[in-house]
Amino acid sequence: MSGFRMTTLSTLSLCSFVIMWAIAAGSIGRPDLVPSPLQVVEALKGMLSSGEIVKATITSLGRVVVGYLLGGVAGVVTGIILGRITIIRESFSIIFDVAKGIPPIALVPVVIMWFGIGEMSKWLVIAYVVWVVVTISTLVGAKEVPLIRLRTAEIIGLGPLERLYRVVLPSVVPYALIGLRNAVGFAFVALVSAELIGANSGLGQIIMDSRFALQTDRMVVGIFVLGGVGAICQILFELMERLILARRFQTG
Amino acid sequence: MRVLYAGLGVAIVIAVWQLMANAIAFDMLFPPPRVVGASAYDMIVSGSMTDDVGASLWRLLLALLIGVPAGILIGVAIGWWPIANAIVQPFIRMFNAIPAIALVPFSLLWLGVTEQSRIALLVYTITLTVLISTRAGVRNVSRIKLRAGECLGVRGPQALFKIVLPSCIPAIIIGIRTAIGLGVMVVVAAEMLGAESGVGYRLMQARSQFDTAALMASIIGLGLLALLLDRAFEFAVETLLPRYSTKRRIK
Amino acid sequence: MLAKLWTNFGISNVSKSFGNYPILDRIDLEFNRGSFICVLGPSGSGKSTLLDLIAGFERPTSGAIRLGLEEIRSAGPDRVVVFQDVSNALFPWLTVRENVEFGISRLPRAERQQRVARVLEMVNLANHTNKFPSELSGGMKQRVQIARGLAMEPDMLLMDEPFGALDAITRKKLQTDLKSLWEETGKTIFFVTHDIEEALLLATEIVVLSTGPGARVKEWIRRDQIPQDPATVEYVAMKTRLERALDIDEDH
Ligand SMILES: Nc1ncnc2c1ncn2[C@@H]1O[C@H](COP(=O)(O)OP(=O)(O)OP(=O)(O)O)[C@@H](O)[C@H]1O
Ligand SMILES: [Mg+2]
Repeated sequence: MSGFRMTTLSTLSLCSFVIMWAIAAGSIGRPDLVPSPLQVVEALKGMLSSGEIVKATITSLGRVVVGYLLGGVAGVVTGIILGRITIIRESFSIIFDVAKGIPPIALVPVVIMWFGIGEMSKWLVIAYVVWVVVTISTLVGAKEVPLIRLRTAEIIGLGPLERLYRVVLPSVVPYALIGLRNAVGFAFVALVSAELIGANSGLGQIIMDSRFALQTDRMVVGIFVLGGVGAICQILFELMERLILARRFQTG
Repeated sequence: MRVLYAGLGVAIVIAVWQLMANAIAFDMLFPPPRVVGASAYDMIVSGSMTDDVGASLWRLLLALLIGVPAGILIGVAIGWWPIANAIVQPFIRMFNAIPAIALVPFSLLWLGVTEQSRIALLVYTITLTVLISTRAGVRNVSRIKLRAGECLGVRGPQALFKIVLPSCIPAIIIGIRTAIGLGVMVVVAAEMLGAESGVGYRLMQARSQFDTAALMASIIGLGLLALLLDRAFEFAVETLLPRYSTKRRIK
Repeated sequence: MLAKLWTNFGISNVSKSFGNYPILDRIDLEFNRGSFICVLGPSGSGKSTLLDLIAGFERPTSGAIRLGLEEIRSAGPDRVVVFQDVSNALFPWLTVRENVEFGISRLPRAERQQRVARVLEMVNLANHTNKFPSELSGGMKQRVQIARGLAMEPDMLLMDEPFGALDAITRKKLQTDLKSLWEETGKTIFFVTHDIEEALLLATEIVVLSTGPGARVKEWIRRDQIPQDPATVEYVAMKTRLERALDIDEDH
């Protein structure tokens, strides 16, 4: 089947879903529980014109960016150290195995106790998750720098520092990228976690507040915008990957 | 030797933690390892740990029992039939972009603070994760395998069971493993935002009592629990499905 | 599987194009049952495409391929393909024995076991029946594939550069093994290769395709024309003739 027909089918399926949703909403007649597509669009319009949704998006996005950058840089550095120095790796990899399993949302209460309800708490929760994810995948790359490359560096007579950034770092890039790509999704999970519990702004708060106010239309808007922003970040990351790095840093 | 190193690592972390606690000197806010350990001990002895972990694990297990078969079924179907895929694809994209945790308030709104609401959300997360991985597995079955099957008289639905399904078992396994990890995250979130039992509920209790030691003990416990589940699953796969093990390599 | 009753294998005026792009142009050949047919041709000329047509994986755009009077319309167990990409062709979750049994699972147990034992004996793998493909060398894997084909007791074996990825010594060994296997069983073998000496050693019929697009039969050397002894002038002359035929520059 051709790509065109597939796209048509996908579009049709989306359209029929929206129609079915509208019919269902109409026949249930509980806009507080099942708002119609039109009501959701209305809610979106209202939230756009009041500037509320834009503000929340910017706030949330800002948190993700700061936390992601902090965690990403820390993760690459930690990963390289753990990957290259056997004793440190053997000693601490178990710690990271445990850390990987901690749900970000579980950290929120304690982080709020320590750092208050401000931005710092959100940054830290996001950064923590990104840090763990990036560390683990960078570690694998740093550990498995091909021996031939290290030998080559030795033969050419590179010093330890030069060896690090001319051989080890480039070899680690594809692995770090895998971690960084996965971390985009995890950063959003952490963001929502932090915003659902004790936030006074952001998309998560819109979602949570609409629950108590029984404003499902606003909740749906919040969820869709959150998903949209996450998807866009994901796509941007992949675009960046393909444009800048694809040819020079292939895995395998 | 490895155990020794790991012990060293844990010892260092505990030492640093102790030093920090000494410097902060505010046990209520930043309890030293000993206090957290005592808190964990209390939870174990009083049986509340067993109850909480049991409640959370029960939810996770139940959801896995429903979500894994559902995910495999749908994943194989849409991986195999392009038309089914075209119909479902936009929804998978959409829901995959939305963190499951963001749907917790939604499920609470629709289904209330009930067991169904938590299980439903978990089933959703697990199905979606397994489905995506399975679909990729089905699509990556090499054409040569299917052609070899044709030559050997295996085609159509028979090929689905004898070639496609076994070929994508490794992908399904990865999907389930990811789903377990995500499942732990979602069950805790669902319990924190509305439940009367489970580890997430315990976390919220500790928070309202400003019991930092219990919070920290629960967090570490959750990390250990997730790790244990992951290793147990890996072990189960290695023993039950040695044929699909990725560890066997050419000698 | 009852052997179909046919005595000659005809490719009559077969053309194949993918979209508007012609691959094969009016290929017209006829062989006796029991022939060992080797097909040579420059890379991309359409050898694999021709093999896919005979296997029934693809249908000709015009013309027909017949076994006796019956036209080939789909793949079937009377024509087993031995693929070049052996790591994908075998089923990694099945042992050597189970791979060989794959196509004959409906036979009664005793007959099945007997057949498996016989074909594994033929390819010298009787001592490796319980290994998994990942535990075999490249040559061994290829022999499993041949055994799996033979177990079907097909009329014809279709082999697409089966030894292409092997080292010279293993290849030599498998060539002689295949030759004695052919002498033993009298199967019709359709064998695609890049290697002129391989063709001269094995074939009773050699076909050379011209450079595509729209490849045609450039040479068709019959049974009595193929010299057997490499130490003769005729052999060297034939080799030179084939080399010329394969030389892409000659076409322009
Ligand atoms: N499914 C397809 N769709 C479009 N073009 C194809 C397809 N399969 C093969 N071709 C084209 O047909 C031509 C012949 O391919 P084929 O694989 O038969 O060559 P070959 O002689 O086997 O080459 P090689 O010696 O490299 O294996 C090539 O130009 C290839 O690009
Ligand atoms: Mg080819």
